[in-house]
Amino acid sequence: MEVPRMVGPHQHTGTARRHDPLVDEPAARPSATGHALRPVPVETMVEDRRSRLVPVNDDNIERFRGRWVALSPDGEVVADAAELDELLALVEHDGPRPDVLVQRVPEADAPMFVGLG
Amino acid sequence: VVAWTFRHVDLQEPWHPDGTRILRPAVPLLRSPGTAQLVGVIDSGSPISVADARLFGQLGVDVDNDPPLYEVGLTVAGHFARAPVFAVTLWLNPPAGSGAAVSWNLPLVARRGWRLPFAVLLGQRGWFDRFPTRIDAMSCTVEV
Repeated sequence: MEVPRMVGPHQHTGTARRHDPLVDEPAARPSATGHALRPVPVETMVEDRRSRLVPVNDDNIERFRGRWVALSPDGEVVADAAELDELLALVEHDGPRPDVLVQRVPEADAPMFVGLG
Repeated sequence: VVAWTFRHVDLQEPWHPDGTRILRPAVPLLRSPGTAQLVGVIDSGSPISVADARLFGQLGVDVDNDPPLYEVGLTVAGHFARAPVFAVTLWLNPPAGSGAAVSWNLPLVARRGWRLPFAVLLGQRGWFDRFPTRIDAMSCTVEV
């Protein structure tokens, strides 16, 4: 059974200049047919940069799949846990944390969600 | 009318087969001012609003012992289940620099076995009956 854990800065695997999915063109990704498809550029996403919802840093995503994570304003994972209530208790143990955003990182093979069914 | 715009969010779901990312209309939610932000995904096709049952303890609700407003039938992972509905208060956190968070009361379904990449699904009852919302391909605009 995995336990909730705080993630220290020394554990981050990000590079000096983190990939910014709001600005950088998304990287090419192999398709199911083996061809490298480049995602459609989404320049219009840059318009609203004030949104508080930040995407998780791609550099760290794989190790947190299937877990709830707390993200810093830069999209770095600062804590993770198996369940939502465990994570909230962990990140707010020492006081309010309005700076973090909580979400669950889906499994790599998670089906596409199209409603409650 | 004050309107807040929120850009759609990539929740790191598996990509479309053509290599494009899935973007969800999402807003930042609070349990109360100063708490960690939760992701709420807006779904105009859902008649109700639903959340991870494990969130309700944080909202002051004991899902196992408190009497619900009523129950609804849901299909969860292919199985039918009755799910309790509780009256709760949530807060909508504005875009940075756009004012203070706004609270509202809503009936919220407690769904067990939650594995979606966000904490709250905001549907017609509980969201659209409080916040007129326009959704386009890249963002949503919420009248508050």
